[in-house]
Amino acid sequence: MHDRRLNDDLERLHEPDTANRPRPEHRSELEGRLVSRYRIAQSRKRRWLIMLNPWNRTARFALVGLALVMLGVGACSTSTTTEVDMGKKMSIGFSAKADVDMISIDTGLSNFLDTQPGIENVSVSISETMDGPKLIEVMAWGQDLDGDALVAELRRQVPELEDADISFETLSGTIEESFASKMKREVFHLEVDGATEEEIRAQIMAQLAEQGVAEGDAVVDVQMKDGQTEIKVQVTKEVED
Amino acid sequence: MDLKKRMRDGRHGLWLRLARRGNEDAFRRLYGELYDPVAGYIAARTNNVHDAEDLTSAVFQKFLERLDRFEADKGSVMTWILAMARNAVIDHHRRLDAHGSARKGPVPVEELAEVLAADQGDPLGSLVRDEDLRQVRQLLCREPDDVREMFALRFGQGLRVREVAAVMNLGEAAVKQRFARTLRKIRQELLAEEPERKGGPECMIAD
Repeated sequence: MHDRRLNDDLERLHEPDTANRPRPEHRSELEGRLVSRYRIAQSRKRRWLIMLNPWNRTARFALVGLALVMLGVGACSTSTTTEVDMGKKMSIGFSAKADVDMISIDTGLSNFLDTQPGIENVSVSISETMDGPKLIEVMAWGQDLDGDALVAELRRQVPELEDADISFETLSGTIEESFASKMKREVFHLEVDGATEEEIRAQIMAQLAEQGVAEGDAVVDVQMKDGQTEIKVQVTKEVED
Repeated sequence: MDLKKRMRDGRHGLWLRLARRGNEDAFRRLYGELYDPVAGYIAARTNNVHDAEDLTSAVFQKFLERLDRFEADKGSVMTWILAMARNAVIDHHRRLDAHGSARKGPVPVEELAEVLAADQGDPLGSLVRDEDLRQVRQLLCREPDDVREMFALRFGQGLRVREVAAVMNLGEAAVKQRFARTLRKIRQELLAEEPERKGGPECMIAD
């Protein structure tokens, strides 16, 4: 028997069995669901990419916030602590039977978050089952955000969430009191008047040193571009137990 | 060398890379070409349309979640997603078995081999169009389940030997050897039954 003939027979023997094949409409239904989830995933990825840009306003906020949180973790054994309101976490829950249109919700949610004053950065996570999304969690970072007002405005701007169960909680970081007050009073209110990037950097380093921040604990980046001056200050301080 | 398959793999690799970077059109195209092989593979190994649809959906959901984890140097996109489909079928039949029996613990893959070989009852009956085909089918059915699964992947899904090995998590040399041995055996038995077939070239599996 020739190769070709045997190969043909084997291919014919293994031709797809059509008995249990999904319905023709399953293909397009699944594509719709997948593309919807793909868009959400890409949207979240883009937000992370923006976060990784060190000169992005939200990124600077996050870096300073990170320094504060690290201080808090290091100082957890001390009794004098201060809690800082760093944002709000909104939880949007859907009932098992809810018919959730994620494309509309994602669009509405993105528009809402982009237009809210005081929100410096957001991250979104979605828990879902085969039936669709069950819980959307939105972390809105920004100091002193009004949680009740945010939820009310979210409901107003995104009518698709009418039946959703929305709640919020405060995102807080705990910081060691003495150093925290120093950070709040002094690190966040540095005074600079230098004309060049290097002059400004030297002024900040000098003021930090006066306030007890060792040179190795501080990283200062200054960039002057298009008439604007961008300053990034990162202070890392470990407090021993 | 199967140029068509290599072009297909290259195209899928490109679309996957574009999809990772946010190109929705590339994602749709990739889905469009992968749907039929995945749905067909699963349909041949499930008992009803409902299960086939659920499993197909679950496989593509996992595919989407793991889009960033694909490593081109470990195989083609087609191999990758069919391996996911195979695992989904194994899990599915384990669940069915757990519901239907008092067994404790997972069912070994070896016990699911017949299902993975996609030989359920007489699904190929309507395809037996002539004597040749009937004979080949009979000979193939005598082979162990894992060999029949290799043939189902090779001739049903159109995978290369290397890809069959990757999907089944076996060594390429071992799979190649079993293909060659089985084909030689089938050919010899066919020749023994039909002397006029003698004189043909050695039956080799094209890769």
